[in-house]
Amino acid sequence: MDGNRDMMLFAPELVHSLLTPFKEDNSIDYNTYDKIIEFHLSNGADSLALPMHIGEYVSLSNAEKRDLISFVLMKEKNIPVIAHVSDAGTKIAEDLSFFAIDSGASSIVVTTPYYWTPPASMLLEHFLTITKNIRSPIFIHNDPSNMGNAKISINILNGLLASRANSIYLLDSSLDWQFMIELVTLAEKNDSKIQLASGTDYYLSAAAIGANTYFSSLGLIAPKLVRRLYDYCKIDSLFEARKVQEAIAKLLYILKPYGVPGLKAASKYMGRDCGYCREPLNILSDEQQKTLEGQLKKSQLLKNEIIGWNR
Amino acid sequence: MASKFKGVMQSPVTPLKEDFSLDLQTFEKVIDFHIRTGATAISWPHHKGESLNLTIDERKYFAEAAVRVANARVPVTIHVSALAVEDTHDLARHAESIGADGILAITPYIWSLTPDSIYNYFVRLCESIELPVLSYNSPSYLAGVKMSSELIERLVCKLPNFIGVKEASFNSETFIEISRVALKLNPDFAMLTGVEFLLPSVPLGGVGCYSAAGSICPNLCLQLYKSCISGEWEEARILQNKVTRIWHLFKDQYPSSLKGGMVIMGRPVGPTRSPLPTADAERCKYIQSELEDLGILESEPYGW
Repeated sequence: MDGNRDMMLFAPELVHSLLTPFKEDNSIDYNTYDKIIEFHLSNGADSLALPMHIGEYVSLSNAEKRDLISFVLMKEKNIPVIAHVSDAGTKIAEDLSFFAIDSGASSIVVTTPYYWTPPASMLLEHFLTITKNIRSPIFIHNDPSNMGNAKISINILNGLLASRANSIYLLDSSLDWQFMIELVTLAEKNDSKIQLASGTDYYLSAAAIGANTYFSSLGLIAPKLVRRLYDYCKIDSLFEARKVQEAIAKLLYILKPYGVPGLKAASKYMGRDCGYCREPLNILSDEQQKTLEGQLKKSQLLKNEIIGWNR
Repeated sequence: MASKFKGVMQSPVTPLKEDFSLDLQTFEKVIDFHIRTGATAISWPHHKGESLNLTIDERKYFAEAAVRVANARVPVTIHVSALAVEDTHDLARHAESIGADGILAITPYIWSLTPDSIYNYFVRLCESIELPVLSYNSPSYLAGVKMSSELIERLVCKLPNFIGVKEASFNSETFIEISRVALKLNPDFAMLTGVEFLLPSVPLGGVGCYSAAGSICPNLCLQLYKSCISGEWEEARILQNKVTRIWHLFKDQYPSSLKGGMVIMGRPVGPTRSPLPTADAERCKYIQSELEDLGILESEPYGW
């Protein structure tokens, strides 16, 4: 099963992960989602990824995930769209991955299963089952700190490589230099059939090691900063990239205590209100919003970013 | 004043005789070998030097030897961390008395400490001596006890002789959080990576490393450092991958495997003290085959 875009041209580069806006009645706000997509397309995204964890993926029903994927694919046909399909159950994730690729997604992202901690052999089987009929490139997400410390090992990747003809991206959110370097060494042995992608906004070290793809959670808040970081790294201007990476690190430091609601609050501060969060998350209280806005203003980190939805 | 703690710094292994006693003559050769092959500083005894398997008296004895043999050719720092904090203080005072150029200290062993406790520990240590103090962050070996960027910020503000960190988390967020905060307060704060992870750390403000493989392949380690600081990233990637493969070879049964590798390179340093194993013939054979495959036997010095 292929996506509708030429695999040979698949070059995700700077990938903006989308927030999911909710109305007060808990429903998805598609008017605002439309604006979000337009904003990303006009402000530096080379690809879109949805609904990732910052898009409150686990708080969406299976039908809503499909609706969101369909909505984006109906709207955007020129750049890669990457669909997140992870689940606790292998068959559920497999069905969603089929749906996404069949609908025209360029690729899928799949993490280790939610909640369960299967043995390595079953973990490999999980990934093999989900991806066995998908000839598009796939992203395997290594995110131990958010997934009960479940890690993708080099052995699992070797097992996947042995069974797949097409390329694999290891989307790394572990930030672990040893693992990333091992991955790049594995890529060299496999004619780059596997590649390193960064799943966080700490992109500079990953790029130094050899990553060529950057999933950003800040595309709606600081699109100019993330674009500059990616562009510097793309041409190997790694020393020049340091100041930009430091600015992004400081922004992450401010936002981290607030989680996904903090991303929505920062987006609101930038004139791009994404509405409510869905339970169990809650938008920030007025007092928290005020505190966060004070921190962002004082930091001056966003002074060169545009305000509002228009470019 | 620019930090003198940068580049590829070497932390020698501790040579032992067959009866497991200290081998001073070979230790002197090790120190001299490192300096002649490009070490920018010597620091002893890291965990690689079996620090915790040595008595306090033995540590003082070899610390004196390290300072004497280096003879001011390169700076010498003494790793003073011990199970008992009072021993740490004793070693720190001793390091100062013998003319060492600084000390290195990890967060205290065993205990799960609050940030305030770690802060107080370093304040007391730094204020007890005038020597520069480098801290050592290794949360994976110390049950998650770590030097956070907030803690580093407080220490840099408080202590003029708190001048750097050996960062051994090997994690992008941890490294940049510390460097971002510390370098703003002190542009000469020495951001050093434990082991030669220079490629991911130099772009983030790293200025060097404590070498793991320098006793095996000093030329390769220096080449990696030079390619990183000169921004030759394509070459650096090739070299970093090679050095990391060597790290994985020696990480298993560290530092026993390293001592086994030194035999292969013509620089035998004896066994490893219990509870660490000594590399057996089978292990040494495997190490030899890997070093051959990596071309180390041809490209690196043999013997002392």
